[in-house]
Amino acid sequence: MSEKHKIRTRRSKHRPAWVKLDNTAILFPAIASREMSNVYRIAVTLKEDIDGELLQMAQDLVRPLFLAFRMNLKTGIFWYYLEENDRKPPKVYEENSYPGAYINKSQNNHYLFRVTYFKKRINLEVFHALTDGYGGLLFLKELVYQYLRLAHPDELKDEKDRLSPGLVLDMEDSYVKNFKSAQSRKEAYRSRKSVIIKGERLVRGEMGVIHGYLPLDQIKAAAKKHSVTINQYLVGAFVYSIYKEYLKGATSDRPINLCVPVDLRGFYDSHTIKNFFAMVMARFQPEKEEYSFDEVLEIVASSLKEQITKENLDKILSYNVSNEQNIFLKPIPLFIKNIAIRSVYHATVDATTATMTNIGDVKLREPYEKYVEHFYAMLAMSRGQELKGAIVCYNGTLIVTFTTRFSDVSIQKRFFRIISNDSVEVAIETNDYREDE
Amino acid sequence: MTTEKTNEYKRITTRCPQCRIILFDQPEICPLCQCVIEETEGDDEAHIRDLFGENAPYPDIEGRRKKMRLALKVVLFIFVVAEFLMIMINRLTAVNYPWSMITGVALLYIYLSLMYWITYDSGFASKVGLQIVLTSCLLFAIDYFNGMRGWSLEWAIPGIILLGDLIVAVLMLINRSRWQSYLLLLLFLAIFSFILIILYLCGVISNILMPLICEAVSFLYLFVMILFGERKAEHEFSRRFHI
Ligand SMILES: [Zn+2]
Repeated sequence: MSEKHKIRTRRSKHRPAWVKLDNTAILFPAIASREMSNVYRIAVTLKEDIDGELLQMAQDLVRPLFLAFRMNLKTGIFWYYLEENDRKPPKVYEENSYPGAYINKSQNNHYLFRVTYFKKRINLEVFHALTDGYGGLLFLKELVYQYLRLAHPDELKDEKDRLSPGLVLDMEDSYVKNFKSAQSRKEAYRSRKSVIIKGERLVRGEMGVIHGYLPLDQIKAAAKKHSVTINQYLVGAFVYSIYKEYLKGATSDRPINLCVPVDLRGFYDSHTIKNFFAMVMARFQPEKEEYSFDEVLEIVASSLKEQITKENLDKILSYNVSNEQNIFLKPIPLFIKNIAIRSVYHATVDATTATMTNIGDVKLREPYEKYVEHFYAMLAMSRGQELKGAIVCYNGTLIVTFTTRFSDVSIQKRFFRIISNDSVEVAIETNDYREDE
Repeated sequence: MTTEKTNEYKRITTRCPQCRIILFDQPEICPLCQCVIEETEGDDEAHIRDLFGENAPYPDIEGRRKKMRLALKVVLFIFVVAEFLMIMINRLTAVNYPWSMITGVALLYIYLSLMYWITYDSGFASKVGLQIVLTSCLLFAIDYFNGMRGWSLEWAIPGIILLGDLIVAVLMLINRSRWQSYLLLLLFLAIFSFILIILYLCGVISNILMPLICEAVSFLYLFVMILFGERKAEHEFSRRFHI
C-alpha cells in the first residue's frame, strides 16, 4: 500500500491525475449555486470535545491517500473534469455556517469538500460531483480513525497511521462500466408533474434541521408490525405526512413523488468511490377520500419494490448513460450542454415532491467504536424541493434528519408522531433556527 | 435505585405534552407543535441516555457573508457620495464638459468588477478571461455611442488583449507549478486578436497596427509555451478538449 502510494505521488509530480465526471456528477456543476449548493453533510459525534489542530493533522494524513477527494473541478471546452489538486490543503475550522452551505471553490483552495467541527461533532461536507454518501462516509470514517489515534496515542498505540486494511479506493465510473446498450425509457410517470410543497420560507440562507433519534430495535419492530422494511416504513411515513399535512388528506390530480436514491454498488458488485446511485420514485396519488396509514404504506412499499429490481435499475442506468455516450451530443460545447442539462433538470424537479435517502448502517472498526456516539446525514436544498430527509444508522440508533427552508414543520411533526404512535420512543433535536423569530 | 441513577446525569431533555416526544436541550416551546413545555416534565434521564446517547448542539450562526455584504455596501456608499461630489464640482466649475459622467461610468465599472470578483466562483484564469470580454464590450459600447470612430477596436481592445498577455505572464511566474492552467486563456487571447484581424479584412477597421502587434505577441507567446511546455502543455490541451 505505502509502496504503491510512493510511486503514485512521485509520478504525479509530473502529471497530476485527472478523471472525467461520472454520469451523475455531470449534473451538479451545471446547476450548483449558492441557493442550490449540491453539498451534503455527513457528521459524526464523539464522546469527547474535538481538538481542531488534531483534526487538521488527521485530515492531512488521510487526504493524501484519497485521490478522489484531492480533486479540483476544471472546465473543459466540452466537459467538466476533475484534476488532482496540488494546492495547499483545505483548512479545518470551527463550524460557522448552516449544513450543506455552498463550497466556494476559490475560497477553499479549489478543494470540493470541507471539514469543520463544533464541540463533539466533526462535519464532512462534500460537493456531490466528487462522490455520493458511500464515498463520503468512507472518507469520514478514516478521518475519525486517524483523529482518534492522534487524540488517544496511548490507548490506540497499536493502530497505524494509514488507511484501514481491505479498503477499496476504486475510482472507476461504474455507470459507464455497467452500461450495456442504449435504451429509451418509458418516462411517462417521471415527467408527470407531482405535488410541489410550497410555504413560507425562513430568512434567505438559513436552513432548519430536525434530527429524530429512533432506537433501531423499536423501529424494526414497528416496521415488522406493518410487514414492510424499515426503509419502506420511513418513506411511507414521510409520504403519509405530506398527504395528511400538505394535502390535508384530500384527493389530488398530481401524485406525491418521493425521490429515493438507491445505492447501485450492491446490484452491480462495484466498490467505486465515485457516484454510483440511481433515483427511484415512491409514488402515491390520493384518488379517493381518506387513506389510512396502512393503505399508503402498502402503496409506497409496492411502488418501491417494483422499481428496486435489477431489471428496472438496468433500464434507468442505460437511459442515463446513453445520453452521455451519444456521439452527436458529445462534441457540443460545454456552455450549451449546461443550458440543456439545466432545462432537463428543471423539468424533473417538477416531478419530485421531496427526497428521502438512506445511507444505511455505519459500522466502525473494532477499537474505535467505543469513542463514537452518533452519525448524522443531511441533504442540501434544491429549487422546488425544500424539504428533504436523510437516514443513517449507527450502533443501534437510527437518526432521521429533515432539512428544510420552510418555517412550517407540520410535516415533520406528523412524521415523528406517526412513528411515536407505533410505540417507538422518539427524541428530537433541532439547530434552533426559530430562536430569533 | 432509579433516582440514584438519574442523579448521575444533568437533565438535558424534556417531553412535549402534546407530541409525547422527547426533546433534547430542554426548549421552552416544542419545535414541532409550538406547545409550551413545563420545565418539570421529563423522564428518567438515565433511561434516555441509555436509549439515545448524547445529542450534539449546533453553533449560533453569525454569517460571515453578512460582513462581506456590509463591506460591499460601504464601498457602494462611498462611490455614490464620491460621484455626487464630482457632479457638484463639475456643475460649479467653469469647465464646459461633463467629465463627471466619465468618472461615474468608471466608478460603476469598478464596483461591478469588485462584486464580480468577490461573488463569482471560478478559477483566476476564467475570471480574467471574462473580465477582458466584459471590458472590451464596455469599451466598444462607449465607442459605439460616441459616433463609432473605431478607437475601441483599433487601440483600446488590442491594448486590453496585450494587458491580458501581460497578466498571463505574471500569473505563470507566480504560479509556476500550474503555469499550464493559463494556456487556455492564452489561446483565447490569440483567437480574440485574430478576430480583430478578420474585422480589418472585412473593412471594419482601418488601422491594423495594434491588432497585428497583439496577434503576434499572443500567438508567439502561445507557440513558445506549447513548444517548450512539452508534456504539460499537451496534457492540458488534451484534458481541456476531451470529448
Ligand atoms: Zn410538541
